[in-house]
Amino acid sequence: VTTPHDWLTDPKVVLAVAGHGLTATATTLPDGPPDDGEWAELVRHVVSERLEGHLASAVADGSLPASDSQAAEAFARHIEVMALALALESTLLEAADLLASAGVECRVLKGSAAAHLDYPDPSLRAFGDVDLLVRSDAFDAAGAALEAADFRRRTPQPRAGFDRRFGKGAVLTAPNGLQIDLHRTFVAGPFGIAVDLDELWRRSVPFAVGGRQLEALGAEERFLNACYHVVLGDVPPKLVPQRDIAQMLQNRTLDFDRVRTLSAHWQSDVVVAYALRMVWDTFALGDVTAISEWARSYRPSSRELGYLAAYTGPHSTYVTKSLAGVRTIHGVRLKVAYLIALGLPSRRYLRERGTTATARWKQGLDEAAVSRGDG
Amino acid sequence: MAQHLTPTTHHHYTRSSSALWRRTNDAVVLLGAGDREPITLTGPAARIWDVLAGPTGWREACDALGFGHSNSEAARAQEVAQLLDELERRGLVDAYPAP
Repeated sequence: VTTPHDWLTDPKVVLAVAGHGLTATATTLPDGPPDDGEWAELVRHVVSERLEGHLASAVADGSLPASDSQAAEAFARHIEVMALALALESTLLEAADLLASAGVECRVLKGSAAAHLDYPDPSLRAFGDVDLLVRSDAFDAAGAALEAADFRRRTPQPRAGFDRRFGKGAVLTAPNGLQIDLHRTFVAGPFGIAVDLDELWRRSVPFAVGGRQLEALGAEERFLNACYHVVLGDVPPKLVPQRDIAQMLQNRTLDFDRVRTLSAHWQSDVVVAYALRMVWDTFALGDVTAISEWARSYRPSSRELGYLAAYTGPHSTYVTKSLAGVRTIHGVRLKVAYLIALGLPSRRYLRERGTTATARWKQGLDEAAVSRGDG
Repeated sequence: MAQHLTPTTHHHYTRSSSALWRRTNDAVVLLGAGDREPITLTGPAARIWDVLAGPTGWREACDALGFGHSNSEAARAQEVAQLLDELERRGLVDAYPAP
């Protein structure tokens, strides 16, 4: 049992906050209130991980003892992130309207979709941006529709046509300053390129925001998206997408045969296995299930480990991911087009990234050497 | 069809389907369609939002403030009327003639 004096040194307190509400977790919250320094440290972690909803819930139901002022701060911070969530959902509706007017179909990924579909109360799930998926052949039209309404793209694509053929997507800033991630696939690099996008679009689930029906991915596809987010996203992995996975597991609505079929087809078994291992460890989940056993016993191939290193290795950069992606592109012509776009990007792209073609080549060669172990 | 009405005892109110909102421990955060800044209802006002889940008359909304409130009944009635008017102005509730 964690005791109050463990507050500062034991990150399990933060994990227990993130896991609050999970029935299978063995994480425990302290049985006494923290002092001011300990509380400040916990809040710092909670804010950094966007766990304000779980913190407020734990304080409100008495699972996490807190003084009156600490409880007031927990509830005030929860209100702040929910205000942001609503502003983001308003932006989401505006973007969805613009895309619909341009004849572009979209799917809502992660934040808002997870909050409404996977949690018992959407106020538990905070988020910091809007994630939308559009089809490859509609990607250029989607970007144009948003840019025409003063959404500003942060960086241009390397060359015309790169996004719709190879890219993960684009980041745009809405007129209100909030961020929209316009996706074509889940991630950049080999794991993103290997996703069968036709299959990804095959199923959807409706949910309502502000009286409007939006479409999210199917449950198994949402689960896979969260796995990609956990394993191939931030280093170290964020707790919110891990909690998303744990929440979906707890909901017991997933068809794991379908998850495995999709992950095998998308060459992402290793991503799912590693995500499940991580979630089981993070939240100390007590259940031993067929899927957890599978994840524990999974042995990745050397190729999978090579791909993973491009995302999570010490020298991981956009370049390493991009270079690793070459192997997953089918056909010599497409491989050549991909390499030309990366190696000879447009002048505008170089100018806005503050680099030159020569510097980019040197960076690519250096990073390729490091990833081969030459450096 | 919803119409703009001055709150009276003859009207019913309900949450607008276009309202964006989240319930927190002791508050409700709301954002009306077209609004830029969310508003937060706390205390009795948050309880009124709860009862606005279904068609609610002015009297029921007043009752949501609860017994033991320090204000006089007239003052409470005025506060409820102002709150309902503000919520309607922001497009967060729809007003209907009472059946």
